[in-house]
Amino acid sequence: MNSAKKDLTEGWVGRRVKRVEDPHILLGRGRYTDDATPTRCLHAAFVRSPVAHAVISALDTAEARRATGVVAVFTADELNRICGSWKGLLDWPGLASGDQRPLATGKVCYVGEPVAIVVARSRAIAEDAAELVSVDYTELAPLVDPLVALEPGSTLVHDELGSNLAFEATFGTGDVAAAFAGAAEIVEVGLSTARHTAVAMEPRGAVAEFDPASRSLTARLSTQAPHMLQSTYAELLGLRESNVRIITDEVGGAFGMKAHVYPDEVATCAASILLGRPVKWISDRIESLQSDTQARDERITAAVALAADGTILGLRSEIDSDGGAYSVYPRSAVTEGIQVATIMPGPYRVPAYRGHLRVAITNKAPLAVYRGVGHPPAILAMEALLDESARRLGLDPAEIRRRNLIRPAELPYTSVTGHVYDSGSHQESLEKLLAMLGSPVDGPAGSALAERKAQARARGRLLGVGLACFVEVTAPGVAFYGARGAPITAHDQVEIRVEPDGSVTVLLGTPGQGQGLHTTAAQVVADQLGVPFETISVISGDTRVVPHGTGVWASRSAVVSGGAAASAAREVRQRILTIAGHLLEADPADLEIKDGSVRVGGAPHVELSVAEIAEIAHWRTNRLPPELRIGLSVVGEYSGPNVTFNNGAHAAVVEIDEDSGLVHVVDYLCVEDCGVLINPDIVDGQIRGGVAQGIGGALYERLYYDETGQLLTSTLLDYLLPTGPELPDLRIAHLETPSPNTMLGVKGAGEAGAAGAPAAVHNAVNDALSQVGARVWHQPITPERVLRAIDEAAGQDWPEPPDIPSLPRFGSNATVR
Amino acid sequence: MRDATEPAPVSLTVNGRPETARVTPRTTLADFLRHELGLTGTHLGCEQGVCGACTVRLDGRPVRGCLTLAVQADGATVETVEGLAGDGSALHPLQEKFWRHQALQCGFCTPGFLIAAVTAVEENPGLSRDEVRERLSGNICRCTGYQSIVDAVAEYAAESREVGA
Repeated sequence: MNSAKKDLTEGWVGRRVKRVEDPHILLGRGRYTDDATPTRCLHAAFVRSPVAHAVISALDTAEARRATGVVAVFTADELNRICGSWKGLLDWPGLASGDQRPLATGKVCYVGEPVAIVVARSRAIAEDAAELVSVDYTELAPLVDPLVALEPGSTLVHDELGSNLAFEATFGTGDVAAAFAGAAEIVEVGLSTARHTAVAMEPRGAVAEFDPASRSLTARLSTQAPHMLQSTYAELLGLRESNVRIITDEVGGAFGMKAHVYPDEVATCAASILLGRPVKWISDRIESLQSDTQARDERITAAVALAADGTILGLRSEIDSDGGAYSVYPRSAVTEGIQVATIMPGPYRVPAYRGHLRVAITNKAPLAVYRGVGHPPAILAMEALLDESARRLGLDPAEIRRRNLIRPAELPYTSVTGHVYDSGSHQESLEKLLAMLGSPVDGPAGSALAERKAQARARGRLLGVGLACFVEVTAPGVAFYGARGAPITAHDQVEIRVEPDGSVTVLLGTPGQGQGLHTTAAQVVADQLGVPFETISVISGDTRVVPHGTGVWASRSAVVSGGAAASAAREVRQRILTIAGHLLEADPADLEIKDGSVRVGGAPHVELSVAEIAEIAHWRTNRLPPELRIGLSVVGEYSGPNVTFNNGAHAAVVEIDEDSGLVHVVDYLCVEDCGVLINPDIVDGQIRGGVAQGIGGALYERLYYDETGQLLTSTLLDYLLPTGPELPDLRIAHLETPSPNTMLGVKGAGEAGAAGAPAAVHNAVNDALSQVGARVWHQPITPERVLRAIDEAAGQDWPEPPDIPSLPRFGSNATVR
Repeated sequence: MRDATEPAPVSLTVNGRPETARVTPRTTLADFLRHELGLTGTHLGCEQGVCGACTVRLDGRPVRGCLTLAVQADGATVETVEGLAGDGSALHPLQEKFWRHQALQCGFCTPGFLIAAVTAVEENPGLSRDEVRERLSGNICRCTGYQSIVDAVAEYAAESREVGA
């Protein structure tokens, strides 16, 4: 179904409703972390490590403390007395991490690690005074290459661990050796995605207010998971959980990066506790690029065993993941690598698979989850293998996919790594994509395309088309994290209150992160309760006010918050009908609520508005029998499914300028199936934003650490983000295959664009380059890498060493302990 | 030469209202607007002039609030996102277009885009979609992929042409 035709439906779910979040943001009245400043607020700045790996041999804060306007300077010595340590240890066998603390204790392990916090009358004074803190560093050998870090005898990032191996595991089942032994063709690729980061436009920050009288802490943060931080901060800082209040209003982008416990945010809270005054810290962009969690630092060697007709017989992968200096609490440094290993088979029938993962500890900022978590590298590896296989076998890229994609009759399908795809449109989404692309579905391969390529060539450009089919983990259950010991569940609560005038307040346990969750929830409540959308107000992000929620992550909020909202609305609706039944002397089963009015079936003239009922339920209770449950405030709950996978297909069309090596994305298409669409505009927005980030990763974004572990891309002039002219208008189509396992048939949608785009763009580039016999294997696909590949294919070698990372090899990765 | 910490007087007009204050010479216009005047709609995304979130108008021209000192605005007229719609609660026509096309998600970059786009369309209501992309390439959005922003600005430009014609 094409969503463009779906502007009007019976209910609110499915409509392209304008977002309730927007007017106050548009008017400049949004409230982001830095927009609130309490009375008597002090301002903090951090002294951060300028080196990647060193022992702190001396630390002198005296001069900074003497500076005019400075109130305090704290180091680990002071903060460790009131704050515990943490590490992101999910219950994966063997997962190891160094201890993290608010401030570096004894040594520093990455550039940007906080060493001291300076608190002053103003931010400018604090920043000036931070330069007066004197730190002597005795430098140690920096570990920048994860493969080197894993070699025997390497310097250790954390001496107490005895190894730089954070985690190692093998995933998959089936007889892989037999599959490869019996293959007609074996195709192998080695590739990498570059370390990059979310770059939320609103930097992280914290406004902490400690009240010594009640020993209570209020912290305003830009976070995806307020309740998780409430629990964690209480534990770390020795406070009663009911005395910790986390507030988050607008979140200026997060993308997974704001779902963690951060040392600088904890240190800001600890400073407020020590000083008994509000303390604000707002990250600047250099701090963000150095200390926000990073992602996608994956090196992969993968091989596929094929029958002569292109049928996949088996798949193998070696994955080396660079986890950075610490395993982030609570999601850990290994979730990305595990997802790379387990998602790789994707929407394809892969009878045998073995994926071997190692996660290294290095002297870089911690690696954690970022939109798509592991999907982009996994999908890239699989889709690159399929394109190379198609070239090898002389098959059309669409045809080799068609032959291997899961068919409708095979659903539900359990993947070779144990993932259950409850439903989907794996074949159909590809066919729809091809129809949009304009290539003949069953005709001779690429006939129109060959003509376009020839025309582009005449303009000095290499044109290529890339496909990528995907499945994506959404709304995972408690098994993902909570069952492994993290303060992360899958259970969400939503409270719905009908006020005495009939207006409705919805309190979401999980906040938004800018994607329009308030609107989505209001649409669900409008339908489930039977009230007009306009009468609903939505609140989230204050742990003192809203019921419990586990936060917005893993494309879960539409599924689980939506489900919890529906659950609450159904109970409230039942109570309204029961009250109405009493007032109208009718059987509640004969009543219905629509557009805010209760009507009796078969008697259209009898009508009672929700407002009248609410007024009676609040203030005229004398009209109701005492045994009736008349409280129109209900907390609904929903645990969601174990997981539900969305699916879809992407196509990118690129043109490469042969002289400059610049890659231009000239067309981009996406077919997305996230089950029931609550608001197609919001889903489209998620896809566009995700694809933009995916194109960024494929072509531009790279956190470049030099051989000393220094981050060279520490400003937005060096760390390249796509701007408007780099991105095409997307063509998006939707399929709606409802999940049988979620309350509303909804599947998550937030990450699918980011998941598929790097593979589609990369395949398009290699399709273009294959015209001159060249390929590129490493992202970002910079002009330099493109030109070098073109020259080398023409037999012109470059004297400089190639700008590519070392790659894992099959069978050579012995565990180092 | 004045010391960096010694406050200097500034008088300026912000969103049509006269304002006077004493600020340290190193105070940026963005910090002054946000922290002295409480106009927190102007956002700081990089404090280095790259991201464009802090874009405001100084005597009608778009400037980076993070690269302009408050003392440089002495005697000038400044317009911020809070001034676009006037005093009522109604949205400015471009804000309406942003709402209609969902040209914002997290909204942090939005004030800068609004100010930059209002100026761009004022200067040239004949902007094509590609020209809108180019004109707004000094503003970074991490959420939308820009398409809906271009939709909103292009439609606003088209309507401005009709009004002007």
